[in-house]
Formats: sequence, C-alpha cells, structure tokens
Amino acid sequence: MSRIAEVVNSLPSIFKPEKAKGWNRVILFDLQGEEPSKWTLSVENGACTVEEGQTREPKLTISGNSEYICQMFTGETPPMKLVNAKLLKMKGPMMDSIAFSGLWDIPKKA
Amino acid sequence: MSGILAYGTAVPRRRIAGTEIRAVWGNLAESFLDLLSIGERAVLGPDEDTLTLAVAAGRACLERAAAGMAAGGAAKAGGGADGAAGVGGAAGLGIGAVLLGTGTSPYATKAAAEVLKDALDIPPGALACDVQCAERSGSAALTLARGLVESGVVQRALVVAADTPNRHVAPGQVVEYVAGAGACALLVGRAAGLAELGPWRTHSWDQNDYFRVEGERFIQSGAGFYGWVANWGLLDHVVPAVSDYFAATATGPSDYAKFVVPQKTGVRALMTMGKCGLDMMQVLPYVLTQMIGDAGAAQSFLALAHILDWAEAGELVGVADYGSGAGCDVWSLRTTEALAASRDGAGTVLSQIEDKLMVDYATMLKLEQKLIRPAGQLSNFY
Repeated sequence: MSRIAEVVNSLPSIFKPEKAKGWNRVILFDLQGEEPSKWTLSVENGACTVEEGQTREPKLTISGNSEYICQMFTGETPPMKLVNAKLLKMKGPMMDSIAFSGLWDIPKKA
Repeated sequence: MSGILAYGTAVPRRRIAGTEIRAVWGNLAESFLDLLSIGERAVLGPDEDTLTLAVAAGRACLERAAAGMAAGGAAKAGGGADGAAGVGGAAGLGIGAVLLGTGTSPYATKAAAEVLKDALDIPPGALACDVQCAERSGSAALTLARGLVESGVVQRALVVAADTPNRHVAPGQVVEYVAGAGACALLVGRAAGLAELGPWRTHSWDQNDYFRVEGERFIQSGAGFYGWVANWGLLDHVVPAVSDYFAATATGPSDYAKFVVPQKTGVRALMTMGKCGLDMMQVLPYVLTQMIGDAGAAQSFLALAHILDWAEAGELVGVADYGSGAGCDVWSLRTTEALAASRDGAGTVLSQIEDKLMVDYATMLKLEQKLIRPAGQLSNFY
C-alpha cells in the first residue's frame, strides 16, 4: 500500500466522532506531488469513511502534494504551518476548513 | 421553571448558490465567497413568506408535541409535569399565548401572529402578538413567553421565530449573497421538557447596523457587509452580553457543550467565537449560513434546533442572539433525557437543508417578487 493510501485510510481511526455530530460534509483530497491521487472523505452522522477517487460532489477541497497530507495527519508538520505556507490549499467555506481541522486526534510531534 | 416541550422547523426548499449571484453582479471578489463562508442561501417558493414558514414550523412543533402527549413524553397531557390539561389537537395542548418574532411580517399593522394562531387551530382565548426586534425578535418573544409561563399567566406558550430577509434585499446589494429565510417554533411550558431554560441576560443600546425604515421594502446596511466595520454593532453588543452572562451564571466557555452564535456570514460566527473564548467545535458544526444563508430572526433558533437534533442529555447549550440595532440576548438550556426519546428521525434541520432544489438568478427574482409588474396585471400569459 502506498504511503498516502495508508495515511488517508487511517483517518477513520483518528477521527473524533463526538466533535462531528451535526457536521455532515464531503471533502475531496486532490493531490499532486509524490503520489498524485484523489480521495473522497465523507463525514456523515458522526461517522467518517474514505473512498479512493472523486466519488461525490465535495463541499471542501484540499489540494497540494501528497507528502504534505502525510506530514499533516502524522503530526510531522502542524496543519496551520502547511496552510500558511500555501503548501496545502483549502477551497470551500472558511468555517468548514477550520471545523475540519478540529475533527482529528493527530499525534503530537515528540 | 420553564422548558422547551417541543420544537419544529421550516426551511425553504429552493436555494441559490453564491456563485450564481456573483455571475450576474460580479460585485464581490471571488475569494470573498470562501472567506465569508458564502455557499448557498434559501430562496422563497411561490407564495412562501414569513407567515407560511411560521405556520409550517408551528405545525411541525405541535405535531411533535401531540406525539409526545400520546407517548407520555415531555408535553404529556392531563396534569403533565407543567400542569396543562389535554383534550386533543392544538386546543388540547393548553397554549395560552402565541408570540411571533419577526422583522419581516407581511403586515405593517395587522397581527401576523393572529393568522398564525388561526392556522394552527389554537383557540381564540390565547394571546397572539407580534414581536419585532430585528434578528433578535425570536429571543425577545421567547423571553416574554417565559415570563407569561413562569408567572402562571398561561400554561404554555408557542414561540415562533420566522423571517424572510431574502425578500427584503435589493438585487445587486451584497447582502443578497446571504439573505435567506426560515422559521423555528418552540413550545414553552412549566417543566424541563426536552431542555430546561436557564437564566437570561441582555445588553443593548441604540447603534445602527442593518435597518429598514417605514415604507421601505429593502434592508440597508448600516456598517457594511464585510471588513472589520461590519462587526462593529455585533461585537459591541455580543462580547459584553456574553461576558456578563458568564459572570452572572458563574460559568465559563468550557462549561458549554455547544453554543449558538450570530451567523449572518461565517466571519461573524468566527469573530464571536474568538472574542467570547469559545472553542471552534462548540460553535462551528452548528453554523448554518453556508448552507441556507441568514434566516434573520430564525437563524439562531434554527441553529439551536440543529443542536437539539444531536445533543445528548445533560448538555449545557448557550445562545447569543444578536439583532441589528437591537442588542444581544444571551440564554442557555440544559438538555434532558426526554430529548433523545422525543426523536423520531424525521424533520431534522439537516434533512430539511439537504432536501433542496437549486434555482438560477432569474427564477430567484421571480419567486422573491423582485420583478416589478403592473399592479393590475391579471394573468401570467398575456
């Protein structure tokens, strides 16, 4: 399994369902870089699922290199650092971009 | 003691995307759509207005209350926890007052609440009254209703917050991107019901924000739609109101599981959240503006209903309800075990939001009656 597939498929395990109640959204990862790929993340009724490819119409699109997504969700680089440096771009309502960042139990960098 | 015994909501089915409005007017930088969290906003259907939305929300609320009576739940009849008698139908719910909170009543003088009361089959002996206090109209109506219920003047009161800002913005005005519509009804009684109402505080003085003068159809922006001046009136009232509430109730931001904040645009929600020390996940999942726009007086109530659709028992929920030039009310509720038991899975705010029909700009203009025609025109076909 590729690194990006491993990281994206692990998202349901670091998802905080109690934070997502009432927040139903479809998020698309549109990735370039080392492992170009698309992933559709659905947050619905407090549950999180991942599918490869663009399978639904997204409300929020996160684009950038796959390695930055890996860095973000493994805690290697803080999400805001990647966004502020424009290494990752979020297209969609700003509120949803901010709320999205609160849904994950991202490991703390030692 | 008073509490919410039942609630019901109504959201127009039709929506228009912000990008559709921008394609016509080009009056907002494209990046502002995301920055202000402009997505889609509600469009009125044929013959839909503040009153029809209020009736729809009221009906949904009373149906749930009746179902609760049948099941022996929060709004149970015949010597229920709040002492109201029950004989069936709206008459059996013991409603002694109907208060309609709106800034967009279809009538200048006639009581729209009276029409609402009749449409809901509530007996003539019940007080019916319109409450106009800008976007804070719903909270003002709730406060008055609580007074009537808690003082024993009436057994139960129906409070409906309903508004149609979309009909009252001129084509080409930037607030057109977010002006929506909606309604939410709360049945208030002398029991904790689904959620017991907590203390209430207010903070207000005269300060211009959005307003509409006598004889004018369209709302004017006092401070502005974007930029930091757009938040003058908002933060000048909401921040002291919330601070005062925390001090008066010996609570702090972390005591609240969820918090409803003003949400004309996403920026308003973010500003309020940050200035009041609230965490993003206490607030953002319950902001609806990017999906339906701003429903005026109904917006905070719809956000609260969305919270009630999901809340667990025992959660403390805060509400900061701001009205342009009308100050800010802050109040809270504590959810009960009856809340989960009352859910039937139907009629949730999210299900109403997701059941939508997208329209284009011209259709929106037609439906919101912004295409001026001769007053004497009798037919659409000549």
